[in-house]
Amino acid sequence: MESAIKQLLVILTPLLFVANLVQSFFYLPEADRREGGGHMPHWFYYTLLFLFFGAMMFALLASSLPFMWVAVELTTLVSAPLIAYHRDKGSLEAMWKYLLICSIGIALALFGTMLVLHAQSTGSARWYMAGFAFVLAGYGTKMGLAPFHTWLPDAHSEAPAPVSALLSGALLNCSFFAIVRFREMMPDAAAPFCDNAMLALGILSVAVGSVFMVRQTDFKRLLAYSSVEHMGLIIVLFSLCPSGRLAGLALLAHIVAHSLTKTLLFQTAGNLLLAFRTRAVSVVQGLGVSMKGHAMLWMAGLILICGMPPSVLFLSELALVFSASVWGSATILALLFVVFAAMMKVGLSMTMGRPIASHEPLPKRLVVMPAILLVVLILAGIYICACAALEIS
Amino acid sequence: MLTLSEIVLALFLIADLALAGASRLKYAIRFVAIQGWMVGVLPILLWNWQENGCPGARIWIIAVVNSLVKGVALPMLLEYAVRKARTRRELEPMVSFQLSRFIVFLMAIGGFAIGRLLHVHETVASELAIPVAFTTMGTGLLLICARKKAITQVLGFLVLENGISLFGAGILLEYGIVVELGILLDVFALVFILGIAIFQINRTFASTDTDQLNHLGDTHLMHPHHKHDHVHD
Repeated sequence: MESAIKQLLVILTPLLFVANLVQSFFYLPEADRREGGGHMPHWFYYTLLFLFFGAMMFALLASSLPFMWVAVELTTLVSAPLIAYHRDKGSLEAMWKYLLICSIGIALALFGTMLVLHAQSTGSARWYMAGFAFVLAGYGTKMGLAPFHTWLPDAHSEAPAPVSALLSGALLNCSFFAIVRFREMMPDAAAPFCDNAMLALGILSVAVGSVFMVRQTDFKRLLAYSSVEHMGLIIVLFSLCPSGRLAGLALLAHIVAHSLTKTLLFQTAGNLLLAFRTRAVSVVQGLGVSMKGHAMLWMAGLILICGMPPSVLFLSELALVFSASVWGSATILALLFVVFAAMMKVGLSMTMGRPIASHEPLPKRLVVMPAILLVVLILAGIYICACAALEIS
Repeated sequence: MLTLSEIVLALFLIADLALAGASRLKYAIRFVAIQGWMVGVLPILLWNWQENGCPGARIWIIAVVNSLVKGVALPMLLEYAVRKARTRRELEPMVSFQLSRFIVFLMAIGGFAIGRLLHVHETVASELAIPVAFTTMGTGLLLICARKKAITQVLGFLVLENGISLFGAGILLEYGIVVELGILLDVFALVFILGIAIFQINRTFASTDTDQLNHLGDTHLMHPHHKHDHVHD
């Protein structure tokens, strides 16, 4: 499982990076023009963006566990200034929380790494379990698992759109991979404890994500909580992997589909923020009349991220429900229904009706990247859903 | 018999207690610097000289670099931040200094109890190392949670990191030189970036109190009549 996830992420991360690099070229000049003043120089932004990408690849390819720790901490350090691109009060607060909370989490992960390395020399299952608990809490903080997710909505909503997309689509996966590596090292005696801990945190994350999505008034925070929810689903799928091959396949599909769909959504949300200069759902209304293209991207993205067919997420969530126990799958299905209702409420209120606020028109090039992602996602979804249907029949 | 390493570990514990009660940031930074020095030299003190002879170049290099970074460079950086941000002392801690000292004292007792429970004394260099490491980590977390000034929270992170390094030294963990220097570089860069963030926070908010940093969040979802205005930015 570890090598499969590694190969997948090593291909996926550069793709996401390129998609967001291209979007940055289009997005930043527009954002500077509209926000005005106090932003960081562009050369600095692009340097940090490349370093961020390098640190993520380093984290994926690191040979030893302590090396991986150095790399994951490095991703925090180089991505933190990117969050405070606009250098206003909100983004500074988000950056401070991100740095402090993630660093404490990562420090606990280092402690967990030490415990596991020590366990390897003594061979005691108790040390392995203690180590995994700290690793799960530590890297789980970076991955955005509840109850350690508090930095995530702030950072994702304050960062410029391409950075939010990279944080959500690529960085969270890298932290997940760190947890995967530790899980694969656990001896059989410690395995049930690890799987149960991951299952519990995963279901809690889905619950927290769905609760905060209901009545959410800020559409970027809505996407951030959706990331918490999907990270929960991913860790639940991973905890189910020992039970069968279906969960493993679904896990890989879920990671790719979530990353691409979330990139599409964050880029679209960034465009809406540029046009309306607000993240309030109550102000951005009637997109179907005023901005037809964006209305389609936004609504299609929300439908895909909820796991409606033809989204690949539909298949992976179906596999999750089949693999989990009766109570587990019932809980997750109920929570997914809440998520669906919350997403559709926001999506419909933003796209339908009459516009109530004026907006500045956007240049066409800002739609290129999200549109490409949408076409890819729909085609891939139809293909994979058709294959699965043929397989079943 | 009382060895040199045990004296150092006892001093570490005293530094934890002193940090919990330190109100002037200048002194708090000095206590962290002293801890940094001690973390740096501890691998040499814990080395088994009788059996293994003189330690290799790896141990010496790491000890020197560790002491210089944690005992000199980082404290200087923080003192610079204190001067620039014009914050001399922690005035209104969320948990009083007396209570903080008492909590650290309780954590020390807890640390010794856990050390006994884990049956670590066969595998570690000194029986004191693990309990002191736990107490120091707890002190770091306490400083982060119970203090308002941004600089004290950075200090708390450094104390937490010192506790973890102490744990690594206590169980005689060896990563290899590149990794240890990498960890050190990460910590250094983190404190550097946090220092820059403190300047920017001080300039933007005209204060380094972290209770200014609470405008983001979803509390308005629970109280719909008190909406924050941050959404309109």
